[in-house]
Amino acid sequence: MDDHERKQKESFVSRRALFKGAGVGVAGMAAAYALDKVGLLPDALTRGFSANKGFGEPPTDKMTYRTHPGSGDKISLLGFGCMRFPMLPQATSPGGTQIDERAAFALVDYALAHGVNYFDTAYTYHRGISEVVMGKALKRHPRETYFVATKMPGRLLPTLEQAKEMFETQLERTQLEYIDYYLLHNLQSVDVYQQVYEKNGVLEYLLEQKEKGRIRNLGWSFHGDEAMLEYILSRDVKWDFAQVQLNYHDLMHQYITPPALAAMLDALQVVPAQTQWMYEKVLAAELPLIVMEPLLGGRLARLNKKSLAILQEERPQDSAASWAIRYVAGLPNVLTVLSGMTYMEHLQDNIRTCAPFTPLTEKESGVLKSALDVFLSADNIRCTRCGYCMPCPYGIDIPEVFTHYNNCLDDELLPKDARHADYVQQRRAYLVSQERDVPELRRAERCTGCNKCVKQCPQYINIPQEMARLGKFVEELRVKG
Amino acid sequence: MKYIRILLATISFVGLALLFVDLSGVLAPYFAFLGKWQLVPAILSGSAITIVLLLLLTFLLGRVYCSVLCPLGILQDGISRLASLDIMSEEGGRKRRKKRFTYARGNTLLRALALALFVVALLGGIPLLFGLLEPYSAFGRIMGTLFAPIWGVGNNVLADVAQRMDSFAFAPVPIWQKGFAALIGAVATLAVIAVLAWRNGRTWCNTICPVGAALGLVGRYAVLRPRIDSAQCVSCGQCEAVCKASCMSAKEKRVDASRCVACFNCLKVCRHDALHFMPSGKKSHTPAPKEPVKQPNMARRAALTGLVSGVASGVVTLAAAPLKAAGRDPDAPVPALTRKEITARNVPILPPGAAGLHFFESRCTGCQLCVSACPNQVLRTLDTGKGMLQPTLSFEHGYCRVNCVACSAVCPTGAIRPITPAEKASTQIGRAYVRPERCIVTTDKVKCTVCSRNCPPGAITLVGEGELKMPVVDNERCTGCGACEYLCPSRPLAAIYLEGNREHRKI
Repeated sequence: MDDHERKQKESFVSRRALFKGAGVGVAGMAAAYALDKVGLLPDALTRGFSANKGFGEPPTDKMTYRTHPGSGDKISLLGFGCMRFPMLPQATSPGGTQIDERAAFALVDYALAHGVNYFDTAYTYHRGISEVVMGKALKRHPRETYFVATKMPGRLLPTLEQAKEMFETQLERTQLEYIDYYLLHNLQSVDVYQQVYEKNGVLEYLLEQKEKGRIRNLGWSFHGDEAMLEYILSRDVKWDFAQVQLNYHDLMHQYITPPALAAMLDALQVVPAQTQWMYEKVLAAELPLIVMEPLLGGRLARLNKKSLAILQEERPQDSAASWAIRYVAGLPNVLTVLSGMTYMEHLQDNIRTCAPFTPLTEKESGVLKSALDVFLSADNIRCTRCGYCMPCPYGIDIPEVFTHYNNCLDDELLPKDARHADYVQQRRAYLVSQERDVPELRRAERCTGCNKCVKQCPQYINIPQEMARLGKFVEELRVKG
Repeated sequence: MKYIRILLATISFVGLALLFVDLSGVLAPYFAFLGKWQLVPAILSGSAITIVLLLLLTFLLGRVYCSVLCPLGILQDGISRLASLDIMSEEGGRKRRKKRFTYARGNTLLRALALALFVVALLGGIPLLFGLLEPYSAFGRIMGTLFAPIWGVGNNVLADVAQRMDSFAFAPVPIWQKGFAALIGAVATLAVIAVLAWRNGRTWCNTICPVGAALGLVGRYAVLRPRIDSAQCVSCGQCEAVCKASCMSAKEKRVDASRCVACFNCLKVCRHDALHFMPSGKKSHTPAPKEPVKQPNMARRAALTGLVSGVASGVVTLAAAPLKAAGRDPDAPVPALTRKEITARNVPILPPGAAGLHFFESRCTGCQLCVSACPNQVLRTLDTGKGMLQPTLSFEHGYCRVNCVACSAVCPTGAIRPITPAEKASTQIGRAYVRPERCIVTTDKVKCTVCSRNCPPGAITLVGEGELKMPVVDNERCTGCGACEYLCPSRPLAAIYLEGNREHRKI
């Protein structure tokens, strides 16, 4: 046998071996799949690796539904929030109006196809364009396949006439005959509530609309102080539901108001409702709950490295967002969990979490708590990028300034000590990324401290004070280097 | 020798060019010495050693300074070389170069006049005139105003790529027009020298440049210089054809050493071993015969003078339109998002290190090196007044941070003397004044703490009843850094602005 022949033979042999190997592999996979199907595969092997978790297309038929006790509506556990539609590159801010309709439609279609049937918008989202785009997207689907929620912007202090006009406008924008879930938007203070809904008679008008069937369920969304919650729960009105901010960040730890913030709140004469207290109240009132900010505006979807590592240690394939959603979805009385999903990947991840939904085990709750403890040991600002503070009359891009800082903190790029080994590199990263993320005339040091934003922030961030702190921090970085 | 010359010239040219266009501030410390080796800056900074060395160099080797150290000269050589390439390509297959240059009698009068004008301007304190004539500064303006923005665009493209790659290697830099007069000066100078160099090589250096004229006085007696061995020379004219200084007469077998820039091109082309770079020999002093006078090209000269005077007179005041900053919100214009207009000041604010107005104005040649080097975007060039082309502090794009002494470190003329950050922190270059009628506390009736909160020496206090407090300045503590003016939200002009000190003082 000459050399050439030998080589050929060898190659045959190796090819045969290859086929054999492949056959074994396929058989093995099939076996594993079958075992998994009948639930015989050891839990340790499948943990985090099961077929509909992290791999492939999310299922279209596994969505968890919950029934609204009043209307009997079967609502998907995942609700679609329309405050964070994808934006065209020219306008990336939450307050902008340039929605990328093509991408938004794709999201809505995909959500419906995968069992999501609750869509939440508001008069003010994307400056009114959110209602329009959502309406357009849903118009292409049968009316009985989805529920729509929108809201009366009480904070704009409408008169009765204006409120009527707003409601008609909303029906026009959404191209709907009736609204399934209608909310008094963002109840913050008793004064505003009394002025708009009682004195101006807007509540009476909305109840009339409910009589007429143009509103099927009437409720409210709440960001306010204790007095407001006590007041709304004591009214002689049959509320069909309530929309509240719930997430593990706010519920798992006792939020202690820093002294400076306390001073500010004193000046504003508000006592923000503690989340735990608020949740107990609404539970006692036996209201079906729609959860907003389950991810705190994305903050809980983008944890810092250390806390994310704790979660991934437990479930390698699960996102931080999925933990947050599983936590709130497991709370009593929760009807649906709203998530403002900008990207298809957000939507797919959330669908995987809710189709089907599995509550956190006791052990997992403990893991989540320890991750949160690590997360809270960092000095993050609680901004959710909702953009209610904007536009700043003096041009500061408040959400962008806070996001840049938080991101640097999460990525462990926040320069602390000049003697630290990574100081030079971190300092450069911080300054260069600020250069990129926040335009020169919109940075923290330019905050005038006029305090106009303070009353707008649903998270009660002392914005001017944080701006002064960050401005000083950056200036020190520049001067020290 | 020619190649050594080209190598050295390339090094110093690239070094100086980088000095002006580099934005990172990394290279400046390494190349700043090249600026300090320039003759006029050395004279102005009183650097006796440099002057003596340069004169000695010229006495020994002729005007190698013009070929190797002067960036404007090297630039002209480059342009001239391009012109030669052009001619060669026209010639098609023919290898021999067209006779580019011919001997021309030196215009001693014009040279003497330019030199005299320069000296008078220098002594009499007419910065615009000596600034325009000085070759290194002319080069600086060309680089700083014309090429630095192009470099900046390139950098920003890289920064954008870096951002996509999650790298912090390149940071975006702001690009803005840092002085209209300087730009016009640069364009005009570049146009003039480009035309002259394209056509006749080193005409600028031998008719207008005061440094050329001055070094010519020494170079005339240079020990080593190209000399024609009349015994060997056949007057073939090869050397004359490559002499960009037009100082070589093949017919008369004579070299005008006062104009020779020691480029050594001639040595390489001579095929008759008749040209040597050597010390003065006996035979060289054949008295110059009366030559047929070449008629000066009057049209060219007229055009030249026209251009030069055009530069001097045609400088226009800049009416800076406020730059529209990119606002995100289309339906709520925010005045604070527009760039401030340039504040008119009675006394320009000079960088710390410049002792005072008189001292500075009589030394600065307007080379723009400090303007290019300023990492805080606070220096720009004056467009009007006595200090035209000279730098001033202007707070539309930044303010003068206390830790930074970049301008004083690079200034080659000593107009901005070297100082330390500690000295800077206790130097007052200007004072802040409040214009209450512009303050947003008055106009918008809101609280504002920007100026007092951001004042580095803490010289601003807020006074008044309740929330609406107005700023007041402690002018014994103010350093004149401009943080308040830069950050003030009032538009189009700040409600707190700086006025320069004629004499800088310790606080």
